[in-house]
Amino acid sequence: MTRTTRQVPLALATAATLLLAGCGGSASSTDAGDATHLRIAYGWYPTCFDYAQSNPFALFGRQVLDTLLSENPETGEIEPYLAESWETLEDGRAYEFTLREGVTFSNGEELTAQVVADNFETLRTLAEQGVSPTVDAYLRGYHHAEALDERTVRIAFDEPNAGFLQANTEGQFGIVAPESLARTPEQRCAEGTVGTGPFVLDEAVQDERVEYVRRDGYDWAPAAHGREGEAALERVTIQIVPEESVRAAGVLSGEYDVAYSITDSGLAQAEGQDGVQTVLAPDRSVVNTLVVNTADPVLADPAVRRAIQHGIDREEFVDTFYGEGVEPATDVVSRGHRFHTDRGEALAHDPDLSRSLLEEAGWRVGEDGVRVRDGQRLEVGLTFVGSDIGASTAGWEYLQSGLAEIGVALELNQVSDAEQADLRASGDWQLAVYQGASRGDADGIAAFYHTELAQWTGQAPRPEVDELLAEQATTVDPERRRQLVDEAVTILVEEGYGIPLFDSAQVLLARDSVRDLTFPVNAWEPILHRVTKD
Amino acid sequence: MAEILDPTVPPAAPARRAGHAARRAGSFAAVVLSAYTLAFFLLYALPSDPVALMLERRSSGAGGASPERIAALREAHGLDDPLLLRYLTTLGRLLTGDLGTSFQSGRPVPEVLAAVAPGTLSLAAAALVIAVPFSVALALVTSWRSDGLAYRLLRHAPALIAAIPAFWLGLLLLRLFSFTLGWVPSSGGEGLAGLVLPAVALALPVSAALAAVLVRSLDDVRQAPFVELLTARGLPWRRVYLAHVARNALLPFVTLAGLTVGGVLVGTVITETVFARAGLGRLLASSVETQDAPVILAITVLAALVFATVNLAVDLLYPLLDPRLRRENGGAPA
Repeated sequence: MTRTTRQVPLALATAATLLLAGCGGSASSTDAGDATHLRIAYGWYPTCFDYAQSNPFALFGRQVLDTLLSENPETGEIEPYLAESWETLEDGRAYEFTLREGVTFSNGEELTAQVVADNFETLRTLAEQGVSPTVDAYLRGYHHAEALDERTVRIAFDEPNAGFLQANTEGQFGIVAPESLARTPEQRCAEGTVGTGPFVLDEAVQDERVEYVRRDGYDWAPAAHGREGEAALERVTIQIVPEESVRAAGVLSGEYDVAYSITDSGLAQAEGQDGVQTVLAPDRSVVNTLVVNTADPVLADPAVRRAIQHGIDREEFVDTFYGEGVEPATDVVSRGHRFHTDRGEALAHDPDLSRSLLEEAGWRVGEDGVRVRDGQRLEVGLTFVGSDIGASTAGWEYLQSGLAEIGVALELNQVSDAEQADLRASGDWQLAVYQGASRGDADGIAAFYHTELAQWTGQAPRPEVDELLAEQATTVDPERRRQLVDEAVTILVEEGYGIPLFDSAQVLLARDSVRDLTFPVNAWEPILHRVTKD
Repeated sequence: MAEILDPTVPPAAPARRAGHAARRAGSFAAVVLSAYTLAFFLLYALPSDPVALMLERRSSGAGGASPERIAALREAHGLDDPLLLRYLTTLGRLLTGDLGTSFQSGRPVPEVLAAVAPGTLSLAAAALVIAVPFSVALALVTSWRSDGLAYRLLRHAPALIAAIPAFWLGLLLLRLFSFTLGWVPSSGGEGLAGLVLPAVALALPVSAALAAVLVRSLDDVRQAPFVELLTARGLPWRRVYLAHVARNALLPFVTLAGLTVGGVLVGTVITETVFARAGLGRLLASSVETQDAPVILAITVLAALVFATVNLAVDLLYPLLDPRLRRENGGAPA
């Protein structure tokens, strides 16, 4: 017997054993656990438990916090929460909130107007220290906050801040107890903050799990939660499970009730299995967009930008490369955003239009199919981060082939997160893939598209749009504000200042026993207060 | 070699021993310092700005950080000093035990490490406790007879085990023992139940390498003339094999076992991720992702320290295993 043949039977036997183990039937459903204990599998341990300092870990920060106001998920109306009523004064230069009575923090401290005023003063300090960039953006024009009496607090601005009421529905403005206000930013990150919310942080074991327990006596939920009084769940465990397949398998076997961040591979695992459901958590943000560097000599030409806008078949792109929860973009923002308008027409795939736009602008097809004008080839580089969820290189290659058909050569440039942060600051980029932060206000659009606020620096100023976006930020009248935003976005889309691509929702896997898992604020903030388990 | 075997050479002189110890200590320091230096320059010579990256991650794109604030934070972290100066001050701080604070979480690095280190230590220890006896047993059974059935069946087992990706092996074990049989939890590092699967997943590839080396070495020694001599004198094979062949074959195995400690530490990156365990490996992976330089540096230096210490211990162990090495300066073993 030769050496090779002797190896074969052994290898086969072992492989068979391993495969059997791998395909070992459907997972046996272990005990679904107690109905008052929700177990969530989540991929990342938070680097910071203080919501004001850290957006990405909203799931953790939000459960212990309440905000002054809430937003009705259906109508987009601002509704009472910790504040019973509120007033916009001096055209948005001042806001007065009247607080609900009888609210206490989980450490026993009372919610008073002075505490709320101190909260805003502290947020301002955090913003000044540079540890809360988002809060800094929300507090634009902030002057000071003061308690007018025991229950009334007044926040004054140097210039109107039209987005301020909406900002008070976001977790960054969650009201924290005096005990937490006295902490340093580092302590707040490490320990989390004490809030008035329906859950209390019980235990955090780094890289392993975070445990919350129900806040006894909680009685100030907003109408949007659809539940009064204490949470139905007594305990919530967020187990940190970095591997998606393990998260999904854990839900299938009943070890977890909910798994976050599931892609096609996790959904494939769940296919045909009983007892599990897919839950979509829509976001409300500026959608995944090709950011355009209008200072670049090639992209400064409006014809090139418009040609790219119409040179992409968003429907096919999404159908081919993305799974459940991803839709082609119909506006610069997600469908669930308060300022969403259907602009499907303006974003329609029309390669003939693209070609004629380029022809008119003097871009002629060269020998290799790439257009040329005055010796300049129509080449643009696309920077993307390889680790973006769902955004595979193949998808960008599809985009590349689509644009090749209209004579635009797209060069793909895959970078790391760190490289992207550098590129963005340097201004040395052409096209990039980027999704805006989750904010259901028009200020989120301004933060993305106003050339002075935009994260991708180096874009040529566009005075007309910049002025509209600045004006809406100080316009309190809702109709007028909406009109200004619409005008601005129409120009943004028509001029191709941004190329909206797709709108992605978070996909979760949950056991059927989990009820009322909803995401009124954003994809990362389920309202666990209202969740029940059968 | 000739010198070592020369019976006229006197027993080790104390001065020589001291010299040997000094050389060992020197190479110990050199290993740790090189690891630090390499890691430092790789980290800080990267073009990216860790402060911008931290703010980026905290705001997840919401923006708001002005260039002035980034500059102020850079200064606070001492990122604007010349590279060489930073290298020296960081080294000075490390020597005094000041590991700095994490860029990402703002917590002191010792605190961050202390929170997860026990998990990794117990995992690594458990893996070694499994790997060493398992590989020794596997090798001894395999090499018992060069023409035996066991030899033919098991000779390639180490290569096969080594060929299994650690990642896949982990998922497979989880699938079988956690999700299908429900014997152990799929995640969480508490208690022995949570430790078994990851320790096995980490131990198997390591055992494969160890067993392969030991089998090879047993095979070599078995063919040595002294074995034939012992057998001819009527010593039972069991005795020849265990007391003479195995003992002589152990030296390369011990060397590799020492190196394995490093391998186990590296392996925890994957094992801890698959089994959702807190530990240094996962911390290292996430810190690399966010360029959290102080944490990465601390883990690198810690790993270098462990590695160098174990190798030092192995060096000191050689003379106990091989009397020939007791005589002279204890130079590198065969």
